[in-house]
Amino acid sequence: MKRGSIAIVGAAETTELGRIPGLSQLQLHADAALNCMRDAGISMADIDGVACAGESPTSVAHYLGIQPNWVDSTSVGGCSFMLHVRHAAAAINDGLCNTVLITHGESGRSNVGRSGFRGGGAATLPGQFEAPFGGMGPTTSFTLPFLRYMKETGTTLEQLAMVVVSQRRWAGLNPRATLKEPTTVDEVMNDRMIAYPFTKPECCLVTDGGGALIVVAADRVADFPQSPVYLLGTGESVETPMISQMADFTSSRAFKIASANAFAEAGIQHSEVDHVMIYDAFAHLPFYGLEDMGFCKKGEAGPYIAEGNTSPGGELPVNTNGGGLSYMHSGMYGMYALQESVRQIRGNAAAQVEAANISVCHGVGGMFAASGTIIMGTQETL
Amino acid sequence: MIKYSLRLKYDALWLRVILVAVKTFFGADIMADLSKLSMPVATPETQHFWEGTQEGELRLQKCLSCSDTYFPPRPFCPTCSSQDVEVFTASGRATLYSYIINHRPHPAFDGPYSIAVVELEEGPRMMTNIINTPQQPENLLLDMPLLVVFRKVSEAVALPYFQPAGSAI
Repeated sequence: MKRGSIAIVGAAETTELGRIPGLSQLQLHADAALNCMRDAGISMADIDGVACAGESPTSVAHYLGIQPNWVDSTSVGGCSFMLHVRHAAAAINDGLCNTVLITHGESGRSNVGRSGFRGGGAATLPGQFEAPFGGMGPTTSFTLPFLRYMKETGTTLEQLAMVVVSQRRWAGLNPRATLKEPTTVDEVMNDRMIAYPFTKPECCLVTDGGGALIVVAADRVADFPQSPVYLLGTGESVETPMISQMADFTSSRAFKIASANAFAEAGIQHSEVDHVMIYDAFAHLPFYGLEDMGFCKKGEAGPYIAEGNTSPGGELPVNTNGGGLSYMHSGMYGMYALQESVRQIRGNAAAQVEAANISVCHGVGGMFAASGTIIMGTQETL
Repeated sequence: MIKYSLRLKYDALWLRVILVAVKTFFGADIMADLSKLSMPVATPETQHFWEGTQEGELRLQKCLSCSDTYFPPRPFCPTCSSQDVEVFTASGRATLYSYIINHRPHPAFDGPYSIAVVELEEGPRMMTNIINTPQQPENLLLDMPLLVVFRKVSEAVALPYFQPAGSAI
């Protein structure tokens, strides 16, 4: 993608977040899409491209009354929406479509009309070589590399707990966050054990919600009411569907490739970044994200977060909505990370970072299985 | 009749004492109900592996072109794409690479249990449970030596588990 050639001109979440038993999963997509359309000041008839995960673009387009020229059903887990943004940019630049709607909706807690992202059967490779050993999904797979990471880097369980403490400080500034009460390292470490060494607050929330984005060519931004959010860089990659086969338990290959491509495309230095979102399904994700993206050297992310550098007032604000640990997490959280980056660049976030001109939004899919990075910027950064 | 049932109760008590002792010193059987395990279903590409576990062998594959040893099974080398590969029996020796201890209830397991990734002596890593040792961090040290042990979990399937090397059981 040519830097600055594409812009996000519509962004919205579902009206409610948290527990939404009154809406099916498909309606969560629609609620977010309708809010997003209003945000962009357009109608469904203006949309000619649809991308989504969790539901098929066929279901979403038909339900919304859109007849698209282009669809993308990339479904690699919670970072699918980062990949949709990247693919939409390529499609628009190639003239395949003009106005792309990207939707997410997930009845993660209430389970109303839920379909989509699920594990495979007993004859798949994960079904044969991982499932028989009693995995319970993300809580037992995503967490598995961390003891090795601790041993190799010297990172401590106190530093892991500090990720929760730090992000709860941000959540306290956000009226829409699910958990807003401040917490402490002791509280986090003494909470209920879920999968040693991870306690409950170190695992993401399980909520309902959705979000949507509208993406167009940057030369059209004057037609839309919101201050434009430009795409500066994009990247994506995948590694393995089996956590046991992740090449290095202290680093994600997909994180490295996705973020390196995004930084190269954006042509920026890390020191120029004002704001970072790192998909935090579990509390160790920000360590991997900060290190694999190059913000910290190997083993330095734990102390960096524990010292408050990513907290409110710190030099590198990270997960300013409270993250998947405190804001919300419907299952495929990447959309909410993108929404927060858009709000920060627009300048209307609940916990607004001062002079936020460049935001790096980094997503994970599956259990370190996939990754997508989107770097956004204000008009000033072009 | 009363005497007989008392005798049974007495025996049951002793059995319980022995079980607790075994659990304390050797680590209890982590399995509660094998029928609740998610059973693997072999494909043509993985058949040799699951036949091997039934016969008490841990079978890996090796590329005859670039010498890479790899897992999970496939009929070509993931490093160089050569289809000139062979199946061989691994030593069964491994070290503990990483793990978690799951505290949420699972119908197949009795109490908190480890889910681990072990590094085989031949190089590849695989997921397993560490058995015949207490399921506690003090007993599960990264890089500790392990040995494979096979257990029949259904008529058709034997799973490869690992236990501390030199374990009494």
